[in-house]
Amino acid sequence: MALWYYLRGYVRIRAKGFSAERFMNMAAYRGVYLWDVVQAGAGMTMKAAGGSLDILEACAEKTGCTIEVLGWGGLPYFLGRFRKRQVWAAGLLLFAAGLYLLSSFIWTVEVEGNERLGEEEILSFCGEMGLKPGVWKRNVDTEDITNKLLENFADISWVSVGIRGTDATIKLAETIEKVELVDQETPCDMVASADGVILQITAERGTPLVMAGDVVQKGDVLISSELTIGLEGEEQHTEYTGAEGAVTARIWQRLTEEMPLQYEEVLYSGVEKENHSLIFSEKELDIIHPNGDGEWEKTVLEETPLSLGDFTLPLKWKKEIWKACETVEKERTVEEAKSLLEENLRKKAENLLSAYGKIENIEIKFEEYADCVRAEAEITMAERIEKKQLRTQEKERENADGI
Amino acid sequence: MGFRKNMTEALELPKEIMLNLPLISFIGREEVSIENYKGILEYGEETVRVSTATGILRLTGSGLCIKQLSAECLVVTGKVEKMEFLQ
Repeated sequence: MALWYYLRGYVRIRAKGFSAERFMNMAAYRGVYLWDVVQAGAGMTMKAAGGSLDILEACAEKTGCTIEVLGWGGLPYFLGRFRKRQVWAAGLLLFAAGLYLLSSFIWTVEVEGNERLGEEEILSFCGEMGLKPGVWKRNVDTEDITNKLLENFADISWVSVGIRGTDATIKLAETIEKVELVDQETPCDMVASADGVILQITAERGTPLVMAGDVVQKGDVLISSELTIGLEGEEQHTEYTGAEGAVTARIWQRLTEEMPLQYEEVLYSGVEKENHSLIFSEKELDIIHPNGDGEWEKTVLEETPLSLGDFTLPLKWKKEIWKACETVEKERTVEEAKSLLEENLRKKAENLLSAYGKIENIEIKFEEYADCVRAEAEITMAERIEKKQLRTQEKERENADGI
Repeated sequence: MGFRKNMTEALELPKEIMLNLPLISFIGREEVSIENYKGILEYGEETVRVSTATGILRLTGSGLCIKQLSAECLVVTGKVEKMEFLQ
């Protein structure tokens, strides 16, 4: 009831006189709804529907009361005020328009259901197709993108691009992973990937062409795909297979490294400060910035995407730790530099090794200069050197000509 | 009147309609609604007198205020201390 009268608009009046009760009775009898009647001094104030002021005045005249309008209230009156506040009303409209405008852009793009496929890969492809944060929602052709995704990614078996509000979600299902079959049919040779001396050769398929102790050069065929079928003395013919096997060889590698005698070291004073900044797409807005001069080492602690409920905003809150530091120039002795170099070279050599490799020997030669030490290491290692190489058509033709 | 009352009682009809009696309901002691009243005789913060078919009803209390007033129903709020029928 009160809400209805609020929407219709109401008038606040004060009734004064000897028989204000009679006035109220008469008004009620004539169908005027009165509420919030409160005694106020000699008279009483009350609220009545806005349209009933004529009846109230007639009643007051008959009962000898005086009524006085105190004010108007309710929705029509509230809206009526905007006639004077045009800028305010314009702002309200502008806000609504802004809200509509901002909600007609894509703000976030999410990928769901990818396991093997990289999210970045899909997102960048969608970006090329016109689906990325910041684009006009109506320009996004979801059906086209769905089809293009299916065409371009063989691993996707099902995909749906959906836009809900300002979020675009790419839901996809991947195909069952293909089992990598070892191709035994296509003719291919095993060739050397580096120069070296063969230590061991095991051929699973194909004809081994080298023996332990042989010196091979990069590109030499180690296990050939040619198979000679037939007993000796009888008619023989050649067949081709996919060669397979393991060849271990001793190979040498040269590494050089330099180490200056003078170096810079970073010293921390122990002072730490937090830095907060707001990231909008690529731009960074440093809001809370610690003051203090000198050098700082900055470490990003976390980047939290901001959201309003389920609605993800394209904003990120970045928290950094700044550590006060000082750069000091230092000098090291030749001996120190040498031991450091040796360590570095050993590490480098180990990084070169494959899972099967082994370092046999490292020989390091140092050269001393005025401001630096230079090291040259010769590394001897046992390493697998076989590499698959497809037998090209050309070779086959050559062979055919030869026969 | 006697016949009407007997019949209403026998048929269990709502008395406030058949006999034009006031229906008074209290919500705690802060709100009283009086339906089927005849008119307000006096209104003040301490006393409200209402004329009904069974006589004059007087409400005494403090901070009394008429929350609603229409031809059928009267709702008084405030701190009600006493309700009595005069005459």
